Amino acid sequence: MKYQNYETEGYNLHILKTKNFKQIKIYVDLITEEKQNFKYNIPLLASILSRTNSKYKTIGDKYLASYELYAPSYKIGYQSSGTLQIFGLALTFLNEKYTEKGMNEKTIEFAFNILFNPKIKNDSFDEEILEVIKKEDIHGMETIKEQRRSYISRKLFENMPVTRFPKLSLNETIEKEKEVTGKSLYKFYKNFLKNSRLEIFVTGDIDENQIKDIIQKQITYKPVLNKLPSPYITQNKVEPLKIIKEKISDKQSMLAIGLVAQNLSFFESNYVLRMYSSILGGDSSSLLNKEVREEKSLCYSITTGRDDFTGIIRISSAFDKNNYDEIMSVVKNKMEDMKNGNFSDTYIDDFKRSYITSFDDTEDFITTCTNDMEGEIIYGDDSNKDKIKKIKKVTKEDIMNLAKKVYMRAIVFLEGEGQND
Amino acid sequence: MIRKKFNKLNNYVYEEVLENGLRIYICKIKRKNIFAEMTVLYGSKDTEFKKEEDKNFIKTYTGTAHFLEHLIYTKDGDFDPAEIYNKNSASHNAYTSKTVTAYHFYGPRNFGENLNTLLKCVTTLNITKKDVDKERNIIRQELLKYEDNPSFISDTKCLENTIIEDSYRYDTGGKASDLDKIDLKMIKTCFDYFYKPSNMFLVIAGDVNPEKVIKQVKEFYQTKKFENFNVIRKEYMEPLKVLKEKEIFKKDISNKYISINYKMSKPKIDEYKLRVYLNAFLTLKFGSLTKIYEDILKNPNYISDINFSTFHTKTHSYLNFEVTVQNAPEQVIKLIDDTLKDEEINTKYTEIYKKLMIKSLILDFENSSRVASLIESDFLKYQKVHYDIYDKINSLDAQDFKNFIKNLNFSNRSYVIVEK
Repeated sequence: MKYQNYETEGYNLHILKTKNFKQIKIYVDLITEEKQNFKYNIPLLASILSRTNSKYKTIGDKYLASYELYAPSYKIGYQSSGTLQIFGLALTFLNEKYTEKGMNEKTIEFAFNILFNPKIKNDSFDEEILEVIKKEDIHGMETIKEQRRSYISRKLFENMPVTRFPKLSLNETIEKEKEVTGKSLYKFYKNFLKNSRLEIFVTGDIDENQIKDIIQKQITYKPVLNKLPSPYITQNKVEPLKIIKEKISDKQSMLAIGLVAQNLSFFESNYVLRMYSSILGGDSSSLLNKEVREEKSLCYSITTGRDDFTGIIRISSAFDKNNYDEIMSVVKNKMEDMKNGNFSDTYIDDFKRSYITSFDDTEDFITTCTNDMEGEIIYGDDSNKDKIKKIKKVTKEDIMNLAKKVYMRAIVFLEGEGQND
Repeated sequence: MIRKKFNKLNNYVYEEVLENGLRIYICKIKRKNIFAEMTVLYGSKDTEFKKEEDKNFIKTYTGTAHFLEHLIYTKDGDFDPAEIYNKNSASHNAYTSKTVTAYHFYGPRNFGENLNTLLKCVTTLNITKKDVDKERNIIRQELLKYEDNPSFISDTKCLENTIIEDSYRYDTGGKASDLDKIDLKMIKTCFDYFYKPSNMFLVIAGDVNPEKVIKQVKEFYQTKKFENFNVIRKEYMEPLKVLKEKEIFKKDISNKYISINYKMSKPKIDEYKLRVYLNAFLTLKFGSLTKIYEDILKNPNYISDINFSTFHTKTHSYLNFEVTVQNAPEQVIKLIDDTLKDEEINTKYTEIYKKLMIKSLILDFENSSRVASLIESDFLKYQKVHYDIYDKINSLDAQDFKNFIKNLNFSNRSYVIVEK
């Protein structure tokens, strides 16, 4: 699919015109280099923009307005991608061709208003609502240990090189968040707008000129096309393995292992790392799953996930505490097998076929189409055509070479009480 | 093969019933990813059953349907379903609910081979005691995962306290104590009784040629023989009252997890209206347009919204609420109680509710798995597909709805709190 890029006043608009969908999808991305203070300001900002607005007195009024527009799906969201922070709006709505004329414009106006026209009084967000949001958020952090998945992730990533700046501990984050006020958050919001690059992506069966005009009307500030750094963080030093073991009152134990791949090229980050992670623990036929689950019945599932921008791989599983040593031994052995090429070529062929096939159906999903466009523009991803060409070039030697650059950085084991105790 | 049209939606479904009783629904939509799901009308609630001519019921343990689900994709000699789907870049999975077990694949290539694999999996079961024992350990780990989850505990315990006789009361995974008792013989018996084409239906959605698909399925079954007998499931005389009105479970957690079930005799009204009206009722009482929702957002005591849903058995309807708070769970329960019993309801929003249903319906046809789910859900709830669904939504009447909710009874209630 081919999309058009339009550079307008201070921002870029990218439009993928397609008749494949009855919906229209829009991403409004504010992108900037990530900083330490984003960790406690950004979540609060997303919440306050979602809950307060200059146009609607109550949340009920806002919902009513959205339902009258056939309930568009909209979310103020944020994500860290390597060195970058992306904050903005994701909007999906039924094309007016299937509802009523004029709905496209009204819906875009409604959603953009949430991002760009917050309720502000005396240069401050609503203090009362902000206090509620802070209380909820801080309570969530103070009790995070009970949310096992969130806790183990947090513990693991506290010990992984995921950012260029020093990470705040949980307590530091709580203390910093307590200090945030309506005024300071509004200042943060204004600075964020000023320092971010605005990229807008639209997918759907639309008239490009009409959409351009509608969007132009909604940009109520003067954006600047700020330059962005590369999102990739190169890992170039080996840190000693950190093992964190804690007891929990659950029957089942949880394990998260963080691996770091060093000094990766763009090709390795985007293609070889993907294949390494998949062969190791990507699906039911992966090396880990076959031995840990299928052969030894030690757990219900063991999976890997990876982050291309940081070269970090995470292995996750949950099982009875007595299986810990055996599972760790399998993980270490399989990592060695990857280095030594002790895995069948079938894994490589299957992965390539599956990866290439995944592009067969991108046109089935409006989100995939929009994400692909966003990836090319923001992260410098290859086009789908080039992705296919490059994945075909990955060899077993490439995977073995990458495996030699992977080391285990952290193990977090939340030890449950076990089922027989 | 009959072609049916979804009124006003410009989408078609091809229906066929094979000689062996298998029902097939094919929805042709322009999506390269093809979704196919075989649903077996056998779920976790079917723990006691018999052949029509037999005197006694066969009793099985809770969780047997789920155990069997785990074994359906077992490798059989050279036939390895996971490898075939992997080779064809298709995802495959399965689930067990109270009433069905379903198996599906989803992929853009080699549809024919994927379909034959699915058909073969649900037609033959060549497993050994070793396979059963190996899978038992995996299921044990799966159940453990849930047992530690306070929401799961409150939800499952509340269901067990709401329903007295009906086997619907047990979680689909079954009781942990039953897991070791399920054996190869029991699993094979369940397979023989329920995994027959006449007790299944196949739904396919995507860019397929319906005639070709039907031909392929017919050819697959040409040489297969199935024992012809009717299975009778045990019927339960479920009383209106709940088993236990209140129970507190202790767990080392800070928040309090609440589950509440309201139990009522199934209102005597058209099944479609019943389901729509009850959901609309809860949305208008607790949804995002209500004052309660607004108040919750301003109150940090609430860790979650008040989540609501409905479910139905043959004789009863249930309203379920789940909410997590920091403190004062009894106050939240009282709030829900009072709100349900308060006769005030804002029916001016019923038109908006219809709008939302129409939007959701249009979007169902954007995605092959979603449209398949629409067809399956209709078949399971109403034993037919509502091709006039668009008109049905539009014809819902506010006054009729108002009359319906007047007669709802919320006096039978059970709740469970999981707290420190």
